[in-house]
Amino acid sequence: MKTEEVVRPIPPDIDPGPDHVLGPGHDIATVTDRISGVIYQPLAKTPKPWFFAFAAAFALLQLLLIAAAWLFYKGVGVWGIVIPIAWGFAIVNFVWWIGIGHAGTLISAILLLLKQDWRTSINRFSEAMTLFAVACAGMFPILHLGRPWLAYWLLPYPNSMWLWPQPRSPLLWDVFAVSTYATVSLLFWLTGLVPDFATMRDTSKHQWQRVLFGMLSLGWRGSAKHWSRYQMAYLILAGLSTPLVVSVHTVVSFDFAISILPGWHTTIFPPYFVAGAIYSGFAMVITLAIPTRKWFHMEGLITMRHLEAAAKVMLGTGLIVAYGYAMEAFISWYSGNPYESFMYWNRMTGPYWWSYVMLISCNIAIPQLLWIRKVRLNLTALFIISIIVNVGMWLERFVIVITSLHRDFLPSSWGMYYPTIWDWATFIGTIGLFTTLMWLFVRFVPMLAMFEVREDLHHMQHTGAYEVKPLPAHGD
Amino acid sequence: MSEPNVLIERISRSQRTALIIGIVGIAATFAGLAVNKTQFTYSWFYGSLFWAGLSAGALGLYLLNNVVGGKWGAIIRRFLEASAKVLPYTFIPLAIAFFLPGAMHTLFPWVRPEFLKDPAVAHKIAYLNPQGFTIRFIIYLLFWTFLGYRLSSRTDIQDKTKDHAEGVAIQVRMRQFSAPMLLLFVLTSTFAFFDWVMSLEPTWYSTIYGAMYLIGQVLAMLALSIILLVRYSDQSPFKETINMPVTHDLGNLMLAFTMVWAYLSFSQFLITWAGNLPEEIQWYQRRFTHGWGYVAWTVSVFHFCVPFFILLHRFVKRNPKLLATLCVYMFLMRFLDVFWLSQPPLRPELSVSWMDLTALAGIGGIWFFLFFQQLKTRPLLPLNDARLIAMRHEHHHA
Repeated sequence: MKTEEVVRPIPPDIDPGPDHVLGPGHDIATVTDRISGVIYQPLAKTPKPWFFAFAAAFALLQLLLIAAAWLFYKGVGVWGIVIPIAWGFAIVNFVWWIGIGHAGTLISAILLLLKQDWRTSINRFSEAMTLFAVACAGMFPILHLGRPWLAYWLLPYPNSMWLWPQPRSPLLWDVFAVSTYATVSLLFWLTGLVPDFATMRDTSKHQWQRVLFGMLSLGWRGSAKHWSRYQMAYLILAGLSTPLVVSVHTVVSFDFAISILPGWHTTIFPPYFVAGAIYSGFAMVITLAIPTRKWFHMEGLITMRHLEAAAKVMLGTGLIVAYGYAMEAFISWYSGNPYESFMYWNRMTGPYWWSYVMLISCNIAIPQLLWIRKVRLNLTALFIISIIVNVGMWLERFVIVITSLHRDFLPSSWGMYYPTIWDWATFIGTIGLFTTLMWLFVRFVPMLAMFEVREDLHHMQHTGAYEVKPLPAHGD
Repeated sequence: MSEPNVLIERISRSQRTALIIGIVGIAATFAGLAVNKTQFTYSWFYGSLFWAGLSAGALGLYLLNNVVGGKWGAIIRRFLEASAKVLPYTFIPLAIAFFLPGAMHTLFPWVRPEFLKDPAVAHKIAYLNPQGFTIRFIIYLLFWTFLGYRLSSRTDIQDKTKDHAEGVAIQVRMRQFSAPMLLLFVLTSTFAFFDWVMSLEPTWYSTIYGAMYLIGQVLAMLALSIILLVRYSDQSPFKETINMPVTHDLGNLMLAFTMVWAYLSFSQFLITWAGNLPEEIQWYQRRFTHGWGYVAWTVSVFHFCVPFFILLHRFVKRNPKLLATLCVYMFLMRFLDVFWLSQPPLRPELSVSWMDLTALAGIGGIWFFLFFQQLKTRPLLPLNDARLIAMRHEHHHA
């Protein structure tokens, strides 16, 4: 390595376009400086938009606290759930949040095994997203229990009442699927952070930071042995996470499909839920990455290459979801089963027709714009489409949960679901929790994997794919 | 360049063998037509369904690789192309199976008047009727023929170009073409398998069926490609190109498709079993009783569990001979799975006729004859594929 280039000007935040994963002007030192600089900067120097975004997120978090407190005090009656629509927003939101988490796992694990170059740098960011989304998701079934202090009854543990959860119920499988997912995702994220925490420990200028990062880095010394063990551990975790990308949302789909309710009981549910999860997850990655890279000048590290690839995955998984809708619609007619065909007809033309129309527009029609490269490369368009997909995927779960339940087999058990203000407050409140955690993460933890970007840079230099050019003198 | 001729010679020899097997098999099966027309229809249908499905799987895998990329696609591309180009010919045995006088009546309950009394069948006559079936049959034929010829004509142009940049540009155009075509292909093949196989039991339905059936065919084509690749790997042009990482990748892909196949099949099973609704569970009842249960267990253990645990091991994927042996085994398993999927509604009691074997071998023989013919007409590896050029470069360094 050239030692005379240790002190270098801050590289410009130039997006190199859709063909490169790294902007010009970087070398190993500047990558570290750029990423760790976000954490080292004085709090007052944090970009202003971050403060506004954090304040908004924090305010919404308070709304969650109020809504949850009121729910615990009064009971689930404060929500709009009625018989026959006993699942309501809580399960809609649960499935939505769990789905959003899937992009992080897919990027970290599957794309690692597939050796995709655009995985590095956004992986850390999306793994954090996974964790926070799972935290939001995990809350809903517990809030929905009515007696949340008895949530531990979900676990099969030996007890004096000889009370066991029903092992044939997919709701119990869900407990295991989600808790495994949360555990493995946390381990994956923390393992990946260790070498970066060590970098922070070694480069920090404050004693307290050195102590803090020193503890977090678990005695990392960067020896060859450490790296070799690290690589092995990371690969094993990737291998463990890979089936989770599929299994978690498959089990979530079983929550519905194992029943015999028309609209829920259909065999396409597992693959189409998994595709939908990845679809919404990538939409959320794009929604969060676009503002973050702007605020913290990360355009050279989260480039159009990353965003365009994410947009393509979104288009592809969106089409799988569309295939699922098409199969459901066709088979509901083809089956000749009056309940099946009524269910689908009612979805399209019944009292909740508006949610179906919006669902098709948000999830199927509008994202087709992503076929056009110009749209994929236009940040504003991409940002708007990603939000539309987020809305669409929430609507999908709304349509599945509400419209399937509200028309029971007997017309005497038909009903309507009207969400109350507390339903909305809880839902919006979890968006507050999610974004609060996310904004804290991007500000106080290395949001991109510094050592992985450095490693990539090294490889690209060797293969001639990237050239470290001295920058023009600063301030020209 | 004398070495490629060794391979061409070898392919010609295989082709002659295939032709003999094909003619003998088909002649024997047609002799069976005189003995037992019903059995002939069942067996002929089974044989033609398998080989048509294999070619459809090739088209699907080819389009998929064009969209997502990957070196593995470049080295098996000619196999996929040749198989996809045989697809139109496989419609001839299929047409015999469906349109021979009385055959449709033998195969499909929805043309029999007594079934129309069932309101669930009468309801779908708007879709399941001989005219609609025929029109869709022609649409699949035309669309899939177009896809196969269009894609291989692109690679012909790529072979002839002198300019490296032009070769890359063709690759990009093929990707742009393949993405929407993959979507249409998955849709058409879903409906084709609904028409040809799912409608054998017209009161039964499953939304995952199209995807499940198609993945099985893709798996079969991938297995066949690996077998041929390993068989030809000692000769030019494969000798200079393929390397360990790429066979390892193909082994991983084999593992992935085996898992996806099992995932889709098991999803359908678990949801149907848990629901236990009369109109749905009939499909499994038919396939788990009267001897068919043995086939069901054989397929689940030997089509998934065994290859899954074998393919988890690195040394299998890094040993081409072992991998190819496993692929031969998987290909045989595909015979069994297609048999289990398509035959129970036709023969409630498990039985295997000699005509099943002669039809499978006979149509397969002709299939391979045409396949090898396609393979011989062009270089066995595309000439200006950037991925292959990079691989040859790696090979030299290794």
